Amino acid sequence: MGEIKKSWEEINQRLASGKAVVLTAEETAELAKTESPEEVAKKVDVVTTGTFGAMCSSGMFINFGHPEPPIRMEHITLDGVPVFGGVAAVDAYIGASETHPDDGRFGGAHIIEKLIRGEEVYLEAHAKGTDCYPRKDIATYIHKDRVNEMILTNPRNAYQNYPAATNSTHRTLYTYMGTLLPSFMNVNYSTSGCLSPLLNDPYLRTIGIGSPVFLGGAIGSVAWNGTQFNTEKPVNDRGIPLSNARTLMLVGNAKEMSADWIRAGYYEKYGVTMYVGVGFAIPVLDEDMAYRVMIRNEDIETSLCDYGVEGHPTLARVNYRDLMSGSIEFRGKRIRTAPLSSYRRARLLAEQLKQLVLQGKFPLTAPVRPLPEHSRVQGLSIIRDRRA
Amino acid sequence: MAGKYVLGYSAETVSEPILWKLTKDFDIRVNILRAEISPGQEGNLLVELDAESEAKLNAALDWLDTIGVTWVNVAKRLSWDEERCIDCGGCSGVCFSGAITLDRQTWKLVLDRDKCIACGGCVKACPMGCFTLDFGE
Repeated sequence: MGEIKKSWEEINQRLASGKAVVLTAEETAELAKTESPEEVAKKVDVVTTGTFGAMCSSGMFINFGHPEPPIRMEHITLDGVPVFGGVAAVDAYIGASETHPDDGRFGGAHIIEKLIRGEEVYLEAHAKGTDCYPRKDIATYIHKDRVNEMILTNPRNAYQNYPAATNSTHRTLYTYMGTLLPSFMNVNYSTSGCLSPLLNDPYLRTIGIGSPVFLGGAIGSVAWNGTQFNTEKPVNDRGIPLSNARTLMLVGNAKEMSADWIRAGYYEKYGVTMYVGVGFAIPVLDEDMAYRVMIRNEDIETSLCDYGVEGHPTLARVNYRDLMSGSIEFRGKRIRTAPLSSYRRARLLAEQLKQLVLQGKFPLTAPVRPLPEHSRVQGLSIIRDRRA
Repeated sequence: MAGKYVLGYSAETVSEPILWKLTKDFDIRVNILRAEISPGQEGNLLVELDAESEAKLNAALDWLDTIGVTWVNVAKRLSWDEERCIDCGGCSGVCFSGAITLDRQTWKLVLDRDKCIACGGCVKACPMGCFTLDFGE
């Protein structure tokens, strides 16, 4: 390997001159049946990826603008949903998974979706009143055209792989991995297989701080690594982590986003979550990148975990060709499998991103800085007495 | 000629051996799929009624009307808001009657109402709240 080299500039020139070949990751995986990495590196310039799944660790900063007389808002609610107001006077953070105190099925994600859709949302806030911010109460309706900024700021998106879930117990479990029926009656998984963004660039050679990202229908940026960023998970022989590994913190202008790609959801007896459409355009810089983007569903493996047991122990290793077929074999019997993220939407997203790249509407730029090469996740210790 | 129905019993009619009469007098093959009967109050039975002809089935349904047992075809009880649906497929994993499946080519959700047994699994499994089911009333 290592004969073919294309720089970001060369790929951008090929795009500008209309000579570039852009394929979706699914189309590239199909090519992998007959072509070598060398051939793919020669033929293909850019590969687009996509996913549309539940990403609880999401939210939106909003700046309401100052009323007259002004207020230093505290105890803020939007349509009754508490939002975080501990950021200056009229800024707030709407956590996607925050819920309405009287309706656990309605929460921050719904507020974000409503604002993106251009619906009116009821704002209520109270304050103690200060010399510079004398107002103590406010109640008004807000709309995306009447607020200053709506910046989607998601601390942990686009998880690189995620375990598949099943349930060994004798009762139905309602989890963030969906409804898990008793006695291993079903398996749920959530990654979009060969289309999944971080599985097409497992070591993040082309994705880093500043990378453009298709986020909720707009072009956002990678702000930083996501929380719980983990580079130390065991990998298979294709370099694919066998369970949840790297994550991204993504930001973007929510005023430009669409409810096609940002949708509120609710998991029974779990809570509110937000479906986020995320995609990257990955340049095929060399044979190594070609090898990465050629990944096929059978090459992507994940851990099957038992959500009925504390710590969710791993029961087996499964691949996405089998998961996506509708059933897998486990302990001598067939168990049905179901996805939680929409493969149809992931496919649409990758296709839409491909068109944007071809039209020169989606920038292809190298990261400004790389994401951490080594990072691991720690649990939370229970410490009774403050350490000296 | 088979169909799935939700039979609504009132406190007065619940003492009658309705299923036995359906079988004996109307020649209907009855398969009970689900029962919710609260003593002294009302009950709901989800049954599959199988008859040799439409006429026989209609005769049985007419008789149910006369004794005050309400019946509703289950196929009409499940509503799916296709506009809201994102085709994630989360519901397909809990639908053991095979009414909801994912087309593995298009990855679009496919609903076959005739197979629905009104178990309500999809109602809880759908993160978008696309399914509603009114069992009884």
